[in-house]
Amino acid sequence: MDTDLVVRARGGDQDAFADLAATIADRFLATAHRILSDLDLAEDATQQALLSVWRDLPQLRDPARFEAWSYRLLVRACYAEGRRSRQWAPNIRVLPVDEPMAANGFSSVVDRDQLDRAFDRLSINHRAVVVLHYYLDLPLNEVAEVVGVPVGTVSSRLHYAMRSMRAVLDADARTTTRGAAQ
Amino acid sequence: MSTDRDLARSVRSWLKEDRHEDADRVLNTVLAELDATPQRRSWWSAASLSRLALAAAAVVVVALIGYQLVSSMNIGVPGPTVTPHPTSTLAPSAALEELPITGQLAPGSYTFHPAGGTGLRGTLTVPAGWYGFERGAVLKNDSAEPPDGAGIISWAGDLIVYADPCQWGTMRPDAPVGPTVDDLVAALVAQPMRGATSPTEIVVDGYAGTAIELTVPADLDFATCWAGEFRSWTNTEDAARFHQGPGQHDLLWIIDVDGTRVVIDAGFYEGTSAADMAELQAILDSIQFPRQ
Repeated sequence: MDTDLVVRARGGDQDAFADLAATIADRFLATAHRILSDLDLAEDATQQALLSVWRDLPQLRDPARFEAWSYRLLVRACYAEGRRSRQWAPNIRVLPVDEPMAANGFSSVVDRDQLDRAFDRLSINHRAVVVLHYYLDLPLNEVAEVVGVPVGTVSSRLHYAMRSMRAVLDADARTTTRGAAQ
Repeated sequence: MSTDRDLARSVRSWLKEDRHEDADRVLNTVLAELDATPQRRSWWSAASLSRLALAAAAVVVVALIGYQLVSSMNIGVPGPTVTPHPTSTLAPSAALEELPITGQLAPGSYTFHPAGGTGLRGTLTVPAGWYGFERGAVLKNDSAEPPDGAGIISWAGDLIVYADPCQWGTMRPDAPVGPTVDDLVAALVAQPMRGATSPTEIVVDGYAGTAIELTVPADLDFATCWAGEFRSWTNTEDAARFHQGPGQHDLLWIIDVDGTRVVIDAGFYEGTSAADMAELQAILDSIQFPRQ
């Protein structure tokens, strides 16, 4: 990240902010799209996050920390969009994460539709951690800083999310197996 | 190959698939809204003299859209009482969580880092409803803004005190004030428009210092000040203490911590509630500087 751009934008330079925003907008949208699983919501979240970056930049004391700071604003915007859309309500239910694994365990060959379904079952808090860690490749301590929770909570959320996804994928596999046997 | 690794690899690969997002439309919308979205000034400002023209231009834009930081508050709010403290018995701060860059704080004790890069650390304890900011400040409800905000910010090391806090851009001394507590107190007492109270000797966690209270004139229109800001001081890293609105009070504890001058700045307003003032005082009372 060009810290000079950050410093100039922080001082109110709109041209600098335009350049800065252009370098992060696509990544913001892609991240929001993955967290929210809805492109319209992701565009709204990205728009709100970029405006928050502009509005709150004077509060960023260390330009070198811009990336983590800006992703924090994005995640907050995603949470806000998630709350506004009511589509998250079905995701609150408890997932069968404690069910025993299928006899063959998780298959290494998983198609996109299965992953879509499994990911859709996660709460937005769990999605955010998964996306930050596996899509943006942020280490857990940076995920914690972005999300604003302790590292232990991030580890717990990530563990829960992966177990939940695996449980859904295993259920899919069992259904497929039973269907084939009948 | 473990199933956990299989799943992690599949999820990573799936997330990284190109989904053809294009943020151009969003970006254009955002840029079109900048003029109508004033930046929120902070406790700190990093605007250096070389960028003052840009800052002034931004203020003109802000003024054009009617954004003003004007308050009808009066001066005269009694500040938190200054009390001596016993010598610290706190355990080393390494065990405490640091104040975050931003974020709400769970009630408890934290390590804070005063602005200035001296490496000095302190500890404080907050009740519910407080937010950390930039590792060196705490804000009630995430706001130090008028008419009822409250917050504490900390500084350490060299400070350049503006000769005129309103026309600070044209009245900036070249050198910091002297290194002692008395040097800084003398410079702040002499600063015009501040109505400084008489300096009072204090002891904070066993460290001697001086308390004074400064006030931003309640009838001041910040738009008449340089770049629209009213500033007390800046440090050699161009981080400045600028104020959030007319009528803001700053209770300053200026202390010498083993040769490092530290400023604890508690900001509040006439409209700050009694409950928030009590919390502010309790946080001040909790401040310690663990011995290394």
